[in-house]
Amino acid sequence: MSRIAGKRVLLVEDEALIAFALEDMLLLLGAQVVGPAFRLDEAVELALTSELDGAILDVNLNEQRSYAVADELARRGIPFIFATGYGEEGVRWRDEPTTVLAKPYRQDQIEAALNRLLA
Amino acid sequence: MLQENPAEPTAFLRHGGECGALIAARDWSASLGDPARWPQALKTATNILLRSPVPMAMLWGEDGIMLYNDAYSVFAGGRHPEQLGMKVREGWPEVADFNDHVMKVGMAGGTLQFRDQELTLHRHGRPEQVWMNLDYSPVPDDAGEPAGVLAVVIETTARVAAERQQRVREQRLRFFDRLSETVRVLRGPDQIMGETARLLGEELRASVVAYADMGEDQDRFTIRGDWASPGSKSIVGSYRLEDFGPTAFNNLRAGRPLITRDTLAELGPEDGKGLLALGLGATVCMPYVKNGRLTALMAVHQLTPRNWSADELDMINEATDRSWAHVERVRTEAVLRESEQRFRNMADNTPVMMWVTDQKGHCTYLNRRWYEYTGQAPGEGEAMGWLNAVHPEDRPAAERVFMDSAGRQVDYQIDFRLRRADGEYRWVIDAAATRFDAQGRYMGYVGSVIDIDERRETEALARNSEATLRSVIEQMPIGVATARVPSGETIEFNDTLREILGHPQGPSGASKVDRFGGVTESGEPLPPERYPLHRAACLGETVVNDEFRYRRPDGEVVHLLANAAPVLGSSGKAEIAVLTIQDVTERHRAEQHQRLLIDELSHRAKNLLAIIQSVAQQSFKGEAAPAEMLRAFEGRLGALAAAHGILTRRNWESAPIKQIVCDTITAVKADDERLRIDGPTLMVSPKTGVSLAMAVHELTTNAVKYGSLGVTGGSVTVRWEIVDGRLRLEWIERGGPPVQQPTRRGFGSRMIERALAAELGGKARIEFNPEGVVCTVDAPLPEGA
Repeated sequence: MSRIAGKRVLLVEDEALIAFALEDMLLLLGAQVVGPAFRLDEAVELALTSELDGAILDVNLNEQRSYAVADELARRGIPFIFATGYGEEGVRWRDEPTTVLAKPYRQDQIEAALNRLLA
Repeated sequence: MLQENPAEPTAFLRHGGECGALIAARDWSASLGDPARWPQALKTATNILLRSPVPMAMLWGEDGIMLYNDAYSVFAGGRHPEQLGMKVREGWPEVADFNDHVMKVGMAGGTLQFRDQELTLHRHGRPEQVWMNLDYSPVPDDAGEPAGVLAVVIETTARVAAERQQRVREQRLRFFDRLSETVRVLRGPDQIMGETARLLGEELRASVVAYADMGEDQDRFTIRGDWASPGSKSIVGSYRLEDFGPTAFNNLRAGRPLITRDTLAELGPEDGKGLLALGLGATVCMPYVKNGRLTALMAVHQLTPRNWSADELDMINEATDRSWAHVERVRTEAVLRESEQRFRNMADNTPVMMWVTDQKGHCTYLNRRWYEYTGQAPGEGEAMGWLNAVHPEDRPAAERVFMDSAGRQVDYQIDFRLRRADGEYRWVIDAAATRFDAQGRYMGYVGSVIDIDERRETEALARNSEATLRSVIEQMPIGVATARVPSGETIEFNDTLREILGHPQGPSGASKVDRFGGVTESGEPLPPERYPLHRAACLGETVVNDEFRYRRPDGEVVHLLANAAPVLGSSGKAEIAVLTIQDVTERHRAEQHQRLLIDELSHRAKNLLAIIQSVAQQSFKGEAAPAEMLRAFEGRLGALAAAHGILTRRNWESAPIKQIVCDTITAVKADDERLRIDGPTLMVSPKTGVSLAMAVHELTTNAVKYGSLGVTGGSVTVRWEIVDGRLRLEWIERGGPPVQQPTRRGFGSRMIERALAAELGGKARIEFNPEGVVCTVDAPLPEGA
């Protein structure tokens, strides 16, 4: 069984349809989905207040970057994955190595990435 | 005193000189008898005769007994004193006939007179040509009858000889006059010698006159031509001096003439063989010696022996010298003419005007270019005619400088205006150099004339083309600068470049382009060796499409594109380098923008794929039949596509609610009177637009499948309004079949209640009321609405 089951995962994605699909995937993997947050303020709020084991962050949120969310998660020591349509070059968050998942992604990719993240 | 002195009957002989004494001493018994008894007439005449200083002789009696005075005795020469008392016919036997005639005439009372009578006398035992004036007159006896003849004899030989000599000389002069007149106009050596031979032959009545060139070996000679009298043969041909015998050989080789008056007699058959073979009985062969070498010969031949006179020999000698000298002169002149011809040919083909003067300062030659340029008639410029083409105002100065310089024999140079063939006066430089012959004698000037207006025009043209170039550079829409090679000092800066660089003054003369604000990638000042103009001017590089950043004095950083290269001058060496600069900042921005757009496009495409993936994922789950699931998926893709279409047409800026709603519904259900769509013009963001479209699509398909659009009599009202600064949107179905609560919340509910609500930042809910589905949205007014 994967490490994902029962874990609380924050989902930040401004594209509703994508968020739903991702939500479905996480639910199938047995995770508990926090969110999805469609907007930056919503996401920051959840990152500050929710009990979390990990997070998947879309980089672009309505012309904004989700780095503030990442900052908060990093501060709290919560691991996270960036997901973006721009590819790895599209992520400019600090110089620290991060996991970047390129859209569109498949369920097995999400699973593998989360397994590594939550190890 | 002539009276008879009875005391001294022979007193008439006294004072009679030697002859008087001889007469007195002579025994006259055999002829005239005792002088004391001579008739008085004879005594008187004898007395007069003896006392006369004029040579006189008395021929007395029929026999002409000779009585003469001392003066006559000199004339008688060796015949005196025996001749005294002799009968005249015996005293001068060689002219006895002459004297016989004299006696007869005289005794008959007649007189005779002869002027310059030529006689050959043997006064000294040899024949002698003499000339005399002779006067004979009768002397009467006491009875008055002629008894003797008195002869007055004056010898004129010396005078006559002088006169003769003079005549010969004159004849010779006439001959040489004729000769020079004839050959003066001749240019060919053969013609000159031929005419000389003819004239000489005719003058001397010779048989053949020939002329010959000596060969280099001083032995062979060639008779090139000759003149032969009628009846004589030409002897033209090649000969050897040796074949003419030792006398001829030795004389001629030594430069002495060979002269024979009777060849056979003088040379004998052996020595004279060569001459005799040609039938030459007498010959005068004159050598022509030049620089100690036998060079040529002139020979006058006679077929018969001939006694050449000294005059004739002189004449032949002089003719030889003259004619050969003339030939040489003609040959030299031919060489000179050829070199003159060569000079003219060269001068005539020179593009510069040229002229030559003689010692007197007269122009003797002007080249073809002069005549072409000035339009003067050929030869018009000669002597002082060239001055006619000089501008009247400049003419006095030109003439003065010329004459003054010629007088001092110095080089000179002067500017004046010269009339061109078209009448225009042009400034020229006339430069003249003195010329001297091989012996250093001043010969005049050689000069050249150059049109300096032409040069001035060329220079003006060059200046003009420079100005043109400068104005072209000035007006070029790209920045241009030039700099000196190799210093890099800038020469020229056009306005465009000043504008690009932001230096309104441009650089001052000595400044270098590397003093400006180029910056490196990292923002450091660009080092000099990176500046394109520096590279071209100082390092000789050709810089192609070099881009660098540049900070203008106003702080703006622009992107420049530079090209630079050294420019080869006419010398083949680079003297300047040229730089072109383009401000490519805009292009740079456009390129960056384009890159962003491409990135964005890629992002959107990927996003769209993710959305499609998501739609597919949700369409293909659950228990519905696969065909139905596919239809649902296709429908949703259609809605998505319709929304994208609207957004694309609107540049992805915003979408009107009405258009989204209408287009989405009609994509499912063609325009239907059961639909009522109403609301103010309100714009939403692209993403909201997409969510709205997806929501309306779900509502529409649901209505068609289960609700009021699936039956006749049903209706759908979509309306939105702004209430209290908020957006209210309603979807209300009426007249459809009774609605049942769905067993499961599907994609549609999720789309509307979660996605749309989150998108709008408000609330959205669907109510499955039995009389029809109602969907309400309550949200803040979208930004920019």
